[in-house]
Amino acid sequence: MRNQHQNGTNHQVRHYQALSPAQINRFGLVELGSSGPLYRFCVRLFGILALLGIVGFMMRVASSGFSDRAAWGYYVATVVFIFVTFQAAPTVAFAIRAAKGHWRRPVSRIAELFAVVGVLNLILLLPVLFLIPPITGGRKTFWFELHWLLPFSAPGFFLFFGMLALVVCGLCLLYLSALPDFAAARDAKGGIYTGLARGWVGSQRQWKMLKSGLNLLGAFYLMTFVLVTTLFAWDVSETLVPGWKDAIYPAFHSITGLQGAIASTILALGIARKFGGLKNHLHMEQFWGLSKPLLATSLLWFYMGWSTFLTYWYGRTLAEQHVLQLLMFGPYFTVFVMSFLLKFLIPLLFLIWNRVRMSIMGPVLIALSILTGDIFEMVRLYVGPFTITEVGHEMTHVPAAHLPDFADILIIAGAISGAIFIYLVSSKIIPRISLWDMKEGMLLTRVQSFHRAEVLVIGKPE
Amino acid sequence: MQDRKVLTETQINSELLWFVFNKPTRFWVALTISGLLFLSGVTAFAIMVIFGLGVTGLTTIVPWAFMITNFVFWVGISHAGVMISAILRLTQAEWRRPVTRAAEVLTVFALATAAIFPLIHMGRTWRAYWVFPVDFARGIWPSVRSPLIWDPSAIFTYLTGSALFVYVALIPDLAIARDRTTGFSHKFYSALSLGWRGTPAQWRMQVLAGILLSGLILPVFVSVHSIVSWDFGMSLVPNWHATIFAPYFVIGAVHSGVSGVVTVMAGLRIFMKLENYITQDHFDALGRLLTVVATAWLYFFLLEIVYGFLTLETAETAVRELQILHYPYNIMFALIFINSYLIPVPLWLFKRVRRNIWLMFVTTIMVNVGMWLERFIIIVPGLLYRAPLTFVWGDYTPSVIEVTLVVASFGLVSFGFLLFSKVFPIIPIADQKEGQAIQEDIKIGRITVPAVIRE
Repeated sequence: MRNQHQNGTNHQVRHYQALSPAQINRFGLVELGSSGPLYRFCVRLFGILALLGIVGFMMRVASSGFSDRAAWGYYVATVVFIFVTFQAAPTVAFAIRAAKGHWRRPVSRIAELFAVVGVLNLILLLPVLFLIPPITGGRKTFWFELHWLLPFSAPGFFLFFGMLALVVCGLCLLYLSALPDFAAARDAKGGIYTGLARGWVGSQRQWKMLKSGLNLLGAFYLMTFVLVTTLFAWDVSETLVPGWKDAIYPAFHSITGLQGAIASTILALGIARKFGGLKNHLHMEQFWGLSKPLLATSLLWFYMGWSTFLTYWYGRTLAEQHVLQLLMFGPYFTVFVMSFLLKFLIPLLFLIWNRVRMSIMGPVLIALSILTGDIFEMVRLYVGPFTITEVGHEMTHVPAAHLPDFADILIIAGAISGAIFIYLVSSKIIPRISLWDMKEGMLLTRVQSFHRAEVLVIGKPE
Repeated sequence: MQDRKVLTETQINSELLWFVFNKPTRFWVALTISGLLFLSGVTAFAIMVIFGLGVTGLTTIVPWAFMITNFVFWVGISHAGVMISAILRLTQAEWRRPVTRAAEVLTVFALATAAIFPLIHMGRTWRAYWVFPVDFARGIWPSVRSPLIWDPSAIFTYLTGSALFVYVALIPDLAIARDRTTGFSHKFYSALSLGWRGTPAQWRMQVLAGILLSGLILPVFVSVHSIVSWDFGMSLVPNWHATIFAPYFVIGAVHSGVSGVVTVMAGLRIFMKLENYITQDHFDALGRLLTVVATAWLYFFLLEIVYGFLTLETAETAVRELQILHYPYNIMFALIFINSYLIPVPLWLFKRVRRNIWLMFVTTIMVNVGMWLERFIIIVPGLLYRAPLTFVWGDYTPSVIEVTLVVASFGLVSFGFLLFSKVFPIIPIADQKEGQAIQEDIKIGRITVPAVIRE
């Protein structure tokens, strides 16, 4: 039922809809298991592309094996791209929940749903473990070697278990968050939801545990994400390059991940609103709310990158000059410029304007720009280091740029499509909107008169 | 917000202006103590001017020590104002209202105090103008490529911006004070309140100015401590030349600054009896914020340490060894971690601790002790590295003069803060009234939930 406050000056009042719990349930549950023609087309398309990705992988194995590390640079870049974008998205759900903004309610689940992509990325990570060189032979490292215990090198050991913990935590977070909704689906539909709801009856004790659990798991997910990002930064790129000693790099990489997380969420929101039938749930507030941290992370990305650049520029040791050549001004100069434009300059020039932030199309297009920039960024940070075979304190020469071949293109398209495919399929099992969160929001929100205006009154129980 | 109070506008006016219009004995006692501390610093400085830098513990090996540490520390504390005020204003955090002014004022006085220390450190302070491009006939041009030249520019930009920030938010309160005074005080407040009448147009301008200043000062806030860090990071001194220094200094500054705000808030609540305004909720919210900030600081702290060992370069590992294993630096190193994270953060995880004013007061002081030592540990051991073919192996022990100057800086900041709170309301009156106006309650079943009207 659309409210009657169209004359209110506050945009939040204009978009406010008073819905009953039954209406919220009906909307959220009707789409589970059912699908439209566009959805079916997308699932088939991304499924086929994912299969082509597997073909690309086979081609790569057949042509290069696992001994030629340089040939796998684009594969690794793709794995990290999925990690710092889709797999990072659940951190957004935690952050906005911790900030206790009411506008977040329709956003949380769309972000949390990205946790399922982690399963695919964990599988994609397996070949990477065999590609990371062991720490013996002069390679600088943070770790001790475990070659007597494991088939892959010690850095791979830590990376794998870090990623496993992240995926498990993400799935637990998603499951816990969806538990009350599974119970609603159980009561309406039965079937698999009877098992998934696990006896949820909505007692006070259960709600208390749910809220604490979401906070704890969310915090754990964020910290594990930063840890795994640090491991990627250390073991899969930085320590492969002699002389690359950049203490800020793991933090820079984490910020890249948080920026990618927000961009992925905004893009998913935009698509869900335009094509996914969520027009009545997703309004400008959600895009506006997310565009501010998107601008902040874009600025932080530049700030941290600038900090590295300036320190190296002033240091001017031979090792530093070579690292700058490799990452910025040498063979990957075009890639660096693209990354800089798409991840910083375009977001800054547009998101600085409130009119762009307070729109739906603006943040979505900027999110698309950032995600495209992330592909270039991962190529810059991973493909180059994977071409280096030297060990020691500094590079003696910077290798030429490694360009992608047909197998690489299939792998990139296939892996990203596989992630989208998994997300789409999951969205038909788990409600895309957190029904209980929406109902709670309805309970805590009122529209009332304040002098001559209509205003939104928001309850703050905590 | 659970323990919010319903206050009338008259009550807010009278309570928040009480300290401005009355002269309680405790104020004069506090002002005298802080004034004496400050005077001890003036005396120490006078001795240094008469006898030269030889009265300090500085040597040719360690030319930067206590005074530069103190400079970095106060620049760090100054980050509190913007962190609290601008960010919370932009994010419309409702609990910000009583906190902002004190944080902004702390910024101004901390920054002004910080700016004094490089001047004192010069030894021949009267020749400070040599670092500026004045008197072109001398043909002496400071190198614009040096971060030491960027530093004063950044600090004075930040100081100007922060002062403006305080002033713009103060105008409605100055008008309230103007309307309640006579004689010289009336003239003083009239001049400062710039004809404020509280018309809709004036309010619109004031709000707009607040938002614009919040947005504009944020990059300045980040740049100031980054540039301070580049004073060190741009050199090739082992342990100083690290890419992480700029964000590490900034996050450390935020940790230190927000802790400083909590200390000041607790002090104000007790000293000025502001229990109706500075409530346990504010300490709770700041405690949560501090937990996040401290954890981010820890991440950077660990990265900085870990990278010291990454390349196993002799000079770098020697400095780390000095920091971590050798007395007295090892004690300081342990204290940094214990004071700034290990004790306070686990305590802040408990709501009961976050809502205990005395515990918050003590833990935040601990943080700042740790953060002062952190700056010392960064600056001094890097210089103490015994380079090959160096025959003068120096060490550093601070002299009484340096210790007095550091102690006096706390006196100066307190003195300025107290004077400000005697002349101007330290809690924004207009902001507080607005907060009261948008307070609401909503009923859900049989429960009444505190609510706010969305701004």
